[in-house]
Amino acid sequence: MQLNRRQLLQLTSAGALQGWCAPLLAESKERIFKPIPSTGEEIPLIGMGTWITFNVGDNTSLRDARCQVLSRFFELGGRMVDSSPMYGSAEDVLGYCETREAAPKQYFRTTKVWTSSDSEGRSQIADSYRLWKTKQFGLFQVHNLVNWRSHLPYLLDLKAEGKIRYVGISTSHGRRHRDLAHIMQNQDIDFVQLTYNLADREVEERLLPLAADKGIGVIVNRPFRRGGLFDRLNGVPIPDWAASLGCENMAQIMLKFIVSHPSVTCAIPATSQLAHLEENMAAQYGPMPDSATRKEMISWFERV
Amino acid sequence: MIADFKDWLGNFLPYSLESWKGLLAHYNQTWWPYSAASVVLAVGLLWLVFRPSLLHGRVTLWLLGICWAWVGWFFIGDQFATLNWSARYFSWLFILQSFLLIIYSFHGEMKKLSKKTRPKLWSSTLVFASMLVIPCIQILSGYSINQLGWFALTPDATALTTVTLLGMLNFLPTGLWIIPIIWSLFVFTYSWPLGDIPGMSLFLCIATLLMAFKLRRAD
Repeated sequence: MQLNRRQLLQLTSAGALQGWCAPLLAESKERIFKPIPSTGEEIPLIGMGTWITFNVGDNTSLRDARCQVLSRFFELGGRMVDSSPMYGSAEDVLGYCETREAAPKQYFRTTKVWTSSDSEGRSQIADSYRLWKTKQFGLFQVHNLVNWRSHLPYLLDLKAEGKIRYVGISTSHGRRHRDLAHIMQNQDIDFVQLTYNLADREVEERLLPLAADKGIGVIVNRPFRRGGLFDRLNGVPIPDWAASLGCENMAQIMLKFIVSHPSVTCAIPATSQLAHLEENMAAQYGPMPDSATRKEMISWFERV
Repeated sequence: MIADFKDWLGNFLPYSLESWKGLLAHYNQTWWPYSAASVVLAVGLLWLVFRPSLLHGRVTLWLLGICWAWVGWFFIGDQFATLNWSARYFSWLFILQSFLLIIYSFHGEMKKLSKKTRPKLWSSTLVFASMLVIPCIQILSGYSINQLGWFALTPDATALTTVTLLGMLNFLPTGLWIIPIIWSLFVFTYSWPLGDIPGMSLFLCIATLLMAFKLRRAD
């Protein structure tokens, strides 16, 4: 039987080749990339979200501080930056940072359309191109499934025109999973974005296996539950097994748990702090937890 | 349970306290030195409330109307809505309040103004305090001088001072305090998850003043 690239990647994601891949993934000390299932294009495990952190309005000093964070993100090998019109001024701030040369000309620009109106959706999408100062997005998603029946065909048209490379659907906070599964089953999408972390693991039941089965990439938002998981782990010592994963802090433990899931393509933590960014980006290196260690991580988290 | 509710509210909040303070600093910087006109306006209103008459009462409401329109357009619509998309609806509510103030200035009750109101020093003192209370709480909460929200320029101090002025004039029709109360509730819902004490205080201040004025009226 001859497999095409997509089928091969689906098998890999589904775990059929896990026995062969797992040692490689677990022992690697290099920066790890994962393939986008629909094309095989490889992207780093850690991207950057902009919810709250890049919404700083017109304040120049805060904008410049965010440009520093963005610039450092690319220095550390980052590629995917995710935003949305829902995030206030975040898209505008990203465009500002591009004019300050804080970003390379080519990177994985990811945004969303978020409105119940068809016509407003068209103008919102046009606004995103204007604000980001780009002619092509890496990924355009329908945010929180809002009016997806209208927006998705339009995004697929833009993809056919070459203005978008990938199309996806996003959700967060565990909302509308049944509808998302229905879309994943029946629509031709490249990515889903959803919430997954040590505390919110509902997607392991249905959505992550379905993504692997359908060859859909998975972007994970809220890896730290908007900082809530740090509050929960406050005062808890770093467990002994963390050193064997190259984890020096809780952020890396939480991120490695997420990106080591076979169906997950990348995680997009958001931060406005350079020190936190560096901690996050280190999670794309070093050994990754295998399935036994992942179980141990869950058990540890539930105990603390 | 309360912590869960606060966390749930926080999920809808698209900006940080740092961004909010940054917005105030940027706004103050943008309008300086023209914003100094608000001091002249404040002094003028204090003078008017100390000498109540039909004309002075009307001018007071007109000036307040200008303040609400300014804040609705330039602060909320032009600045705050860039951080918080839901704020754009409040821009129109503030402009509606400015129209209401002008319309109510021709209300029949205004003619009783000089008879009903007994101007005293404490009236002006309370109005003056209401102009300063929000900036004072902001300083105590760690805001820097360039991040303070002043009367006639920013919504919280304007809403609080409006309720105080109308109470001092003994003229508090429902149509004029509904929007300040709605605004203070809106401010509370985003200030609570932000941990912003000045914003959380606004509702308490306005509700207390309203109750005090209504009780005084009932007497």
